[in-house]
Amino acid sequence: MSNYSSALVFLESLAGYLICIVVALFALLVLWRIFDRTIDLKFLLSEKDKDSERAVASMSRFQLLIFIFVIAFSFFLVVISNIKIVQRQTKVDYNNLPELPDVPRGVLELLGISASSYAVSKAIQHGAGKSGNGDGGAEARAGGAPGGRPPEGD
Amino acid sequence: MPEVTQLIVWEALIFLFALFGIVVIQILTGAINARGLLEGTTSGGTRFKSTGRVQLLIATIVTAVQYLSQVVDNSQKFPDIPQNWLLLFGSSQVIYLGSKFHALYGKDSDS
Repeated sequence: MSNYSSALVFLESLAGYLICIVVALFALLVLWRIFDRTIDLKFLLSEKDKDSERAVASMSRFQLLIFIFVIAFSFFLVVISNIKIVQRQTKVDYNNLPELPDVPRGVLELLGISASSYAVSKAIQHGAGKSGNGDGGAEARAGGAPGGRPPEGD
Repeated sequence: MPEVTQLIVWEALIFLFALFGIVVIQILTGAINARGLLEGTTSGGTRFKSTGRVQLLIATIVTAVQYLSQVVDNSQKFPDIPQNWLLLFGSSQVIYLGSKFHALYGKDSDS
């Protein structure tokens, strides 16, 4: 019985290491492809204008990028901290293991504010394009924007 | 040989920092297009340095750093964000949107 138990523990560790190695290989592959630009992040922060040649960076996208890194890092720190607490216990209670942390309401509100600001910003831009103002208006004056004000001439 | 949990911790940490590092380097070297991040557009289509965007960038960084410091101080659970910070952040967004609205609509009616 004890032999069976130690074999199971060995198998469990082996599976753990194998999964770790496979995930690490995938992570390395993704990082390498981003590094050598096979995965192109050039327009990660950019908004595509109606004029396809001009792509300008978007503050909303930049903000979301920062928050994603902050929240991912925080989530990771919290999980590590919980693991360390369990490891410090001399006798582990398997019925009372810590769960994945709940994301508090404030964080969701923060992300909500950020996302709705993005939506409103797009609505303003879109409205400006339709009424002949903003980027769309500029295009309309150049004679390009569909549905925009007709060119007024220079 | 390190334990599996220790290995997972290092793996995730390295991946997260490497990804962050690559993104930051690509932004700094221009491989990720960050042109016009702090610029607004007027109704005439010309671009200008936007104070609304600058203050939003500052508010975003301050909020992010404040949250991270809270997590580092007490990492046993996700800290909640105080209502005051949410209010500050929301106001910053309103200022940004207001300045954008003004730039796109206001100047046209002025002229």
